[in-house]
Amino acid sequence: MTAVTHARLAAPAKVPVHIALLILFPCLLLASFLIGPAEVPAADLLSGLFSGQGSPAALIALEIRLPRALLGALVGAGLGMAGAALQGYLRNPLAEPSLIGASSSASLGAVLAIYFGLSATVPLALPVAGMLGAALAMLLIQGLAGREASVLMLILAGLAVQTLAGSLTSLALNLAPNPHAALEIAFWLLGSLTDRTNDHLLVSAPFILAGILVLAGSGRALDALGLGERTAGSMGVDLNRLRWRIIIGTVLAVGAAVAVTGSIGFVGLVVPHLLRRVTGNQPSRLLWPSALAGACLLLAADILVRLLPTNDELKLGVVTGLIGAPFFFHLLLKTRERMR
Amino acid sequence: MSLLSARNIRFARGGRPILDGVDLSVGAGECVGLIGPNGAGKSTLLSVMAGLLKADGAVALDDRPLEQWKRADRARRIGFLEQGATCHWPLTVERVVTLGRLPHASPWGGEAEADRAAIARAMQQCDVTQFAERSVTSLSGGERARVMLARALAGDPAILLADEPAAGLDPYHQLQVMELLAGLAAGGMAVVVVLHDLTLALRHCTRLCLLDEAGKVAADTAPADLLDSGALGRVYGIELLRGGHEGAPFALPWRRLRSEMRA
Repeated sequence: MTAVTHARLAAPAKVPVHIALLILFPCLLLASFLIGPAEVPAADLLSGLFSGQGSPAALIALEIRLPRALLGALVGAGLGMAGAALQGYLRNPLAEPSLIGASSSASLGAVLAIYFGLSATVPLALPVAGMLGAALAMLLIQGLAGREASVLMLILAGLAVQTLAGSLTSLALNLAPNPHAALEIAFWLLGSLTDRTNDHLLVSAPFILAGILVLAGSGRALDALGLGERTAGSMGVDLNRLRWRIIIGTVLAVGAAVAVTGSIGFVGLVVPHLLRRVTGNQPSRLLWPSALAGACLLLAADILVRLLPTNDELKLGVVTGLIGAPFFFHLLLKTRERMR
Repeated sequence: MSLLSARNIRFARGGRPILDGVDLSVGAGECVGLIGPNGAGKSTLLSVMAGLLKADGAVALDDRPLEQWKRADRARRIGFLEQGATCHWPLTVERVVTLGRLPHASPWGGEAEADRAAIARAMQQCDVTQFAERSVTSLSGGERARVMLARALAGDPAILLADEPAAGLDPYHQLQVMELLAGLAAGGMAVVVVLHDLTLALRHCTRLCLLDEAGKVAADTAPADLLDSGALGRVYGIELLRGGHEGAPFALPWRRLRSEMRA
């Protein structure tokens, strides 16, 4: 018996998934870097990356391809991590980052920047307004839910904020000053990584990374919470601290991501769901794989967007949804079989 | 010396007093049964003693006020088994028991030899080793209850607070759990266990604390003395059938008393 126990503890189950993700991620990152509308040979792009300024290839590599690939990876990682953490915290496999209003409020901030014409005149007004929107939402949720909020109060407060932000976004669309602004808002809401620059990367990366790290530190507390709030409390988990950790981490990671890319749905919901069983259903073991898989999914979707020969470039949020939904169907059918 | 003591605990919910000046202490080697009718505040008292619920009065762990303890230090001293404890995720039994080592975990992870030994021992004590690889959500209620007890024991607590650990178990496993708790107490642990089964309480506890519906301590004494005092029948409003077997007294709930005869 003891020997069996030792073997199990020494070698956590399902290592291959982590390894597969660790191999897949750099491959997709490289592919995203090499693929684009301008047909530049891979060798020129790679030498441009390391030789610095000068050639057109170097310019494309450093100013267009690199920020786009890195931003895609970061945004996907942030969405995946936030989804896994929220599902663990709410003990609900259907939870996703938008549930606590982070994405809709970031969207609202960015949409208002378009509505008032700030995005055209002030550089980076869009992402900054988006992050301000997410931060305001966090304060509002904190005020609504109260200091010793239960999970239910948190969800309700998040839902209230989400509804308000969604309605105000629709209002902005409804009252858009001209058709061009309305189209810009609608397209922005669909999410995209097109034309994102190093400035976008620099303004959002610190926040997304901070959010990811804040959430990653919650693993053990989330495991304990799986046994119920009182049991987790008896095991030394500070439930108040955990709740704010989850809210702040989600708002940082998702708010900053949505602020630069627009709404990208499904990643935060589907990715943790797909990985749950292969990580042994343990919330802490789901966090980093979800971040990696989120990055992979977003990179793959962004590669697909650029490869598909459509008249207008497909929007990223549309593609993640189209990739994510069939996975979800498959998962549902498998779950149904198991329940029989 | 008492390891954990609660003094003059008062707690009210919605204006109704749940606990009204309750004292309870437990020392090493004691297995204290906390009994009383539904709504007498047994679970509330257990939560207060575990530091999970703030109430008026004083709780001291190792003669130091409980609120002065760091969460992690407190969690290493006190093991707590929630009533109807369950797991929201279909983890393997072994993973669940391993979670019991959380209060001892180093910030950088990894299971040490001491962790593995404690996990294996707790699983053996609760007779769940044979389910180690099974998902905890696939077990029967009784099996799951033993897994949850193993989780609490894996933390090597000096004090164990268990809320109805025998509820939903078949007689064999009820006896097994109670013998285990009594054995742990005999080995130096301080145990407080909430029980509804008077037969189990009288047979396996070294002391019984009886709470009445007003949230006061009606009696806190040795099982045989409690039986002699007649307080059990009065507080529960029942007539007890008393007997003895192998030199130990037992009592069976026999019939309800008319409501006006109830204390």
